Amino acid sequence: MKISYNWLKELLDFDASPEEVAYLLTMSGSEVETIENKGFEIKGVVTATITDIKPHPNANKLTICDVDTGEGKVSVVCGAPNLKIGMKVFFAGEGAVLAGNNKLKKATIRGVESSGMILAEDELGISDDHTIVIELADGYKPGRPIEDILALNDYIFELEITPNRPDCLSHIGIARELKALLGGKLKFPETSIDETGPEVSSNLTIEIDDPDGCPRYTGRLISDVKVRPSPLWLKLRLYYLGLRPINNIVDITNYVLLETGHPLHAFDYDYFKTAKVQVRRAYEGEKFVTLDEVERILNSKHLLITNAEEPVALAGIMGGLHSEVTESTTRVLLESAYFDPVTIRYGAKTVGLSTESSQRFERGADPDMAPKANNRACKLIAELANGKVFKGIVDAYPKKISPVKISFRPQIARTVLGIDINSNEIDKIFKGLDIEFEGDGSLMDVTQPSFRPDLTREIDLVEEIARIYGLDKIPEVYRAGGTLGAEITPKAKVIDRLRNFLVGRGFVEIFPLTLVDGRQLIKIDNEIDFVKLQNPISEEMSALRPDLATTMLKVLRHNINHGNKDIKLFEVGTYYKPVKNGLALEKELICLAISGREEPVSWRHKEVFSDFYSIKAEIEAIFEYFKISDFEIEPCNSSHFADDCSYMIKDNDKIWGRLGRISSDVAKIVGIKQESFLAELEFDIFCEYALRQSYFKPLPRFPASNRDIAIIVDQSIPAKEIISLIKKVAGDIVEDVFPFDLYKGKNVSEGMKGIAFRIIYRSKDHTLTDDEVEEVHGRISQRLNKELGAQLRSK
Amino acid sequence: MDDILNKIKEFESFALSKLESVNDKKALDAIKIELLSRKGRLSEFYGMVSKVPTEMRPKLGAELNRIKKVIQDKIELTDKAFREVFKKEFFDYTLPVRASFIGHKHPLLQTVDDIITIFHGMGFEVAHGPDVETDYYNFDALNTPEDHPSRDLSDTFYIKKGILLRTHTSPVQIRTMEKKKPPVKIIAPGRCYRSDTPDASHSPVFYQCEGLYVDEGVSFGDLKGTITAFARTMFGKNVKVRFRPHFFPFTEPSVEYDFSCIICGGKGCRVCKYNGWLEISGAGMVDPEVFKTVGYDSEKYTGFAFGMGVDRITMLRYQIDDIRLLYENDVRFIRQF
Repeated sequence: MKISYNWLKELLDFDASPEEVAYLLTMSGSEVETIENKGFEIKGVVTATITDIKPHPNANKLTICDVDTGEGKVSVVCGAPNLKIGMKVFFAGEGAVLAGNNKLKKATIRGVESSGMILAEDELGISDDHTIVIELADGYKPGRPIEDILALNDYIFELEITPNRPDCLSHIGIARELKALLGGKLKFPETSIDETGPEVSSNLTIEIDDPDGCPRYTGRLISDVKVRPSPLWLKLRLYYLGLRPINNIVDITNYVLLETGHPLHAFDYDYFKTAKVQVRRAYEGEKFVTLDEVERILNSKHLLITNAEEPVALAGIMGGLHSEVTESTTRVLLESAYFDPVTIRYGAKTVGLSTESSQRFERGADPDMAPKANNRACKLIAELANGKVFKGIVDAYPKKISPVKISFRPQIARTVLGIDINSNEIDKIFKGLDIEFEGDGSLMDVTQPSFRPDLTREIDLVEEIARIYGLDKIPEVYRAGGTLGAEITPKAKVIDRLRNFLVGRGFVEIFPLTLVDGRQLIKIDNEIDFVKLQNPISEEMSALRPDLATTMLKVLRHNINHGNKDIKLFEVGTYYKPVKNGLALEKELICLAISGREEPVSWRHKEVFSDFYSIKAEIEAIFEYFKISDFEIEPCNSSHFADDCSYMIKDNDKIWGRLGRISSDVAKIVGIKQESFLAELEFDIFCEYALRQSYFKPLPRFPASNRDIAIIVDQSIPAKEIISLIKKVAGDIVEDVFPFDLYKGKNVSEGMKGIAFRIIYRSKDHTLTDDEVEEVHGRISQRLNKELGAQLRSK
Repeated sequence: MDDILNKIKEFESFALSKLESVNDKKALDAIKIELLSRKGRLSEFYGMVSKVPTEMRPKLGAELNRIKKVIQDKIELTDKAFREVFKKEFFDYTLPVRASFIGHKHPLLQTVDDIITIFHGMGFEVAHGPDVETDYYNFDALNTPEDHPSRDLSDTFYIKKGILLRTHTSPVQIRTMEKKKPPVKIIAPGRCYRSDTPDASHSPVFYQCEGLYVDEGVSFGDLKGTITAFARTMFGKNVKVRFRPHFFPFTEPSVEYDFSCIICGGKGCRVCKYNGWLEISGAGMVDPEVFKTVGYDSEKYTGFAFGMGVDRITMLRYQIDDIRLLYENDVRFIRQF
């Protein structure tokens, strides 16, 4: 909403500067986004008289005008079609500055020197019209500065008005806000009319078939109207506020709209053959051409204004093409009504129109303003269009809108706001806002103002007090409240520890968008179940991710394509699965991905590229850190993973994780050009394990004895089997067994592998002797040989 | 016998002088072989042990062992010296090691962590709600009119009739109050969704944090104090907070709050568009209609609620100018934080 500082000054006496006004309005809820200085750049423009017009020697469409500028005569080349000898015009000489900071210089136009310009409206920023030059009324002596005639300088505020405040979509509304903040008295514009026409009631009937849609409709008639361009001041005001001047009648309705906030519509009354206005709902499929020349197909929820034969306006939204006021109009019907907000909102939305009028009606216009705005416009039409205003107004008000009565306890304001405001201050605030009330002290009976549809409850009045009292004056309260010992959930603690651990291991945490490409999900797994959006903005973001792998792979692709080839990524995040009757299953996964080099390139270590063991090592590390030992890793089939490198993590029959290499098919679909490894763990199960309380175990009291054993076995025998056999044989004196060397080739025949284990022996109750250890170690060799066909390698 | 002992003595001084004069690792290894290997000089002497009379053997053996130890120690010492020199020559404390990758947390989640820590310190607990919500929790229970534009298909993602992706974290207010009697003091961080085409300042998925405090005697002053305390802890002691009246269906009075620009301190710069203030988010006193919906007695309890855009706060604190960077997850970006 654009608001003019000059206009506010006409409605209220105040001294505040534009900046102060902007601050006050912003801090009371009508945020001023910008202040635009209008017209200040214009300098050196004066009135002048054209004394002679001669043809231009080199151009048919141009003329040479002699102009009396008050300080002498100059000659000016001009191409306007409306030049006349003796015409009064605005003149800008050399050095003058016009709209858009355009500084005038002497010019030679088609070989003839021109010492200035006769001005059109666009050159002064009054409108965008450049077809003719401005013709001033007779009687202006040459040489008068433009400032004497037209208030060019103004400040235009751009305000953000919240949807609950339709009253602030007007200059009167904003002036009232300022009144509440600064004091003073609102000067409501003049509405007394010299009614020179016949009785309106014998020339117009209004019939409202649908009082719910149209509780109030007022009409006035004006005859002998001269439709012509508006005076400069009116054009200027509208143009500064973002509206294009059309003609005096339309401009007046717009002017009153900006002034009072009440939308009006002017019809050519010749179009009402039966002298009747009928307000009714549209028929199903009824067609109507609005004045933007679009044919609208309506239904029975749309509200129409008709001339009792055919529609003339889509009520409160837009007039019809055929009944609009044109230059040949002489009789005008002026409509000022109150329409039901829901009806207008529905209508505007369904036909796809949002107009100055619909925006106000759908937020709630002021029913009491309907006749006042009508009178105000009639007064202006009488003045500016020489109209004869009929006597009286037809005011059909079949469904009275009654104000809400609110019982208001001032104490509530004190409690809710935390201020010690007294009754006098509250009275002053209400009076400033034109809110009527009775009583004081502990209970007030407040009447809702007709222009404030938002004020219906006690709490709404508390807000009014807060706004005008000043939020900045409410003291901050610094105190603890609620309950002691705000909880941090165990789950949150585990997430925290896990994220810290992974970051410590060199992983970068990602946080992707959860909306993914539904088509790609199906391409990867055509049986996948996922949550689909009904109205996505694009196919690329048409589904909620059913796992974390989908988004992880997308992030991998982005990074690899941008040269970030050696990476370790992780996310602890939510995935979504559809459920039959309900919302969606939302659970968390831990997702890791590794690709490229295992470590940064460095002299310190050999270059190693990530493989399955890299991702497995990370899973082992997590499990080690969180003391999770009861899990198995087994081959499985899993979307995303290559058949020969796809494993699940399970505990008994509970599968709760997977890890493997991204298959080449999936890599191709996603667009990843590098071998990549990924793991996912169900967070809830992980959390269960991680939350098992661990207790202190005494440190060992006796020394350990380490022995290595190097064997050659059939390639197919898994390490797991060898380790469990060693543990079985050694019994409770084995503390740990782990492989430390793995080899093939020299001295290892085809189909076999060499593997060496370190066994840590330790007893709980004594220092092991060499003999004891040797005995067990020897038995281990024998059993490995007997049960797994392992050959001992010589030391 | 004496003869042998003399020869041994000779050998000892020969060996020691030879080791004294050695000056590289290679020569040392050669001497080691010459002296101590199986076919070396010392072995020859050991071979003699069996040839002397029995009673002399222990003495000779002991002498040989002594010399062996002396030579071994000398070799070890010399070797160690060589290794020291080698290490010293190669050592370069300026050599970058780059032994392993450095992990980083995502900047947005770092901000979430900070927000949680600050509010936890003020007694707020973290609450969660689902991303896939009902229109009841997202709109109805929050006093949003039936025909409010935010319900449109053009603004809100729907899954099916009545089920949608939450457009704000405010549904968590309702879910929490339904389950618990006052006092309620929570923050609810989480993803939200709106049908916005991605650009530098819009993302269809974004991150909000909701706050709610309901108890007897909670006032607008508490809201001001809480937000101000947060601003100062997050951005520094000098940050000022400004509250402007605004409108939301589920709070009354409703406000928007601004922080004085954290870049220029309020003097005016590009980031605050030269007005000194950064618009942060909305807040207000919980509307009695909302209390009615969850069965709280609005005569007894009052409360405040606030929201904040975590994306926006993250972008402000690190001066990130494009929201898409947050969700693109380029490691070169994340590693900056």
